[in-house]
Amino acid sequence: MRVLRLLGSLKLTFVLLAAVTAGIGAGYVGGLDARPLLTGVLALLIVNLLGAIATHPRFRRQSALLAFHLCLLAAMVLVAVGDLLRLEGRLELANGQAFEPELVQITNRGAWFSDAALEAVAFRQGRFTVDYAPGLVRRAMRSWVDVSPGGEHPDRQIVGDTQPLVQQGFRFYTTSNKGLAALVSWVPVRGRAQIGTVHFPSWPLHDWKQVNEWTSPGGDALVLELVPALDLAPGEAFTFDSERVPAAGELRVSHAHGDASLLPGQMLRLPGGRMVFHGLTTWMGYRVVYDPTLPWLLATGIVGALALGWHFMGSLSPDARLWRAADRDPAVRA
Amino acid sequence: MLPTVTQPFAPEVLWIWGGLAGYIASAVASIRIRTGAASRRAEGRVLGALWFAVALLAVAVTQRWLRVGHGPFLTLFEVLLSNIFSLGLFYAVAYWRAPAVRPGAVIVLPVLVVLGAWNVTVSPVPGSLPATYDNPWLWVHVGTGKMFLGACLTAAGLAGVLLMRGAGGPGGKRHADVVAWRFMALAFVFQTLLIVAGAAWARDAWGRFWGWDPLETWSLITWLIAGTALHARLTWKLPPAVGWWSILVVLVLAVLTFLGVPFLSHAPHRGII
Repeated sequence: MRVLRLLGSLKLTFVLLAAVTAGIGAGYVGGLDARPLLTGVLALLIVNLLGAIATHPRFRRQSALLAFHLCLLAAMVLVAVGDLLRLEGRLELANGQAFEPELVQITNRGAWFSDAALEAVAFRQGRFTVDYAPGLVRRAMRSWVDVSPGGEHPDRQIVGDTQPLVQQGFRFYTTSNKGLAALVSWVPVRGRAQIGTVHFPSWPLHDWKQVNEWTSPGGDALVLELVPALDLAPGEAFTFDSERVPAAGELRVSHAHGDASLLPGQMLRLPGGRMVFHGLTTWMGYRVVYDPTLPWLLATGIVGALALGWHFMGSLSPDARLWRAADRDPAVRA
Repeated sequence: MLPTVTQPFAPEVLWIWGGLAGYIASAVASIRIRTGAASRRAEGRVLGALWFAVALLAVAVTQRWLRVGHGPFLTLFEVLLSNIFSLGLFYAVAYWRAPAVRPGAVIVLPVLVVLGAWNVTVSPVPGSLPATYDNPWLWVHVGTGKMFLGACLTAAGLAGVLLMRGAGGPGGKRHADVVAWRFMALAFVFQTLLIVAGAAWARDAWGRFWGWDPLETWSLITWLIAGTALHARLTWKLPPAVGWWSILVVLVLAVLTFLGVPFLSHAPHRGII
């Protein structure tokens, strides 16, 4: 019991709260990596809170106060568990392309995240539109995805700026990262032809450098530059519609043996095979997030705040016991 | 010769000037009561001028909203405008319904005057509302933020006069101390909801509930300090003056967080919109 009292000491609470504040300040102002410090201090705060709940009789008398502190405890545990289960990543899908787990570029993976979870996700990219105000200010974005790609009839869903696609707990958010792609097929000297897309930098942000490098399946290192037949009038409002992108772009190809310029339908012979340029298409960039604890964290936050409000509601009278601690002080009594 | 800087004209600025005049009249009346130049019966004049200012600012907010097509929470001009309106409204209701807060008017009302004067000097050029702002959680986030700042300012007004050894009024110093902490407790509840609603909005808007951007970081630091101050007041024999100073520190941090941090850049949560 004595150990519990020590662990649940209010003095320790103040020291730990000060350490959390200092850790955040050091990370923000000093640019230090405060994550290990914060993780340790938050773990100690959990122990401190458990000790306080177990030993302080006030928590048994004041159920709303207990509920608030239990919510704080739950929030800290949920954040820690969420960090272990989390997946964050990026994804680019060309028009008509189906989602595949291998396409996700993972940027943050929790230790307990299972790759198998992504296997159950299925959707296919469709058309997307982006509204622009004068001055190329991005406004609403809408992306249509078919969430039943193997079905007889498409089941389309609109994904937008604040409306992610949610499947199996994964949330797919549209991003401002989207653009043009060259639809090309590769016909090797021997073997089967393959068709795919080469994505160019985000458009219209990088409309002045639509260049990308690509190594063909035959091993030819290529630099591709797209010259799209798109009129960009930054001073006017317009809507970028992926289905209205003219296919008639020009693809300039630089390789070890020279340069070439291809129009849709034209072909380039290379040592490893033939590359056929079919025309322009588009790609959409998504941010992928998986954290199954988030709905619980939100509920915990709301319940905690309401419990705190309820606790203070009980002390609205100036004579309420809650505020009497300072009454003994002569400076206040005066 | 100094270059001439021409500020673009926005019709709502005229209403803001009117509101500012109301706040000045209210502040002058409260100071006259505080210094004994007027009796407590003049509190009606303080409240009347306060309501007058709030009404004019309501017109300014409405006109701005209709003119630019979105709520006033994007540019510094808009955030200041919405805050001088919401803070004035909160304080008018508190002044009317809770006479114990009235001694704090000598601090609260000059703060509103300063914010109003700042507002009329800032460029009123409207910004473009990012698509990610079209979310119901944003309204909860902004609404709870206004309540937090209003309660915090009211608490700080009382804490300030207590530090100046001048919290008269009904109930005396002890009552004023308790009322200040009650408003601080209210502020803390709304600040908690503010952070929760902000996290829910951020999840829908940017796919993460917390990103340690400057506004989020300073908001959390303010919450931690407010929580520590309340904890100390409720569980320790905190010297009253230390408690009152801590309330003022929370207000200063809150004002810096709301009106300073986001406008070191051009918009709140800059960099992730």
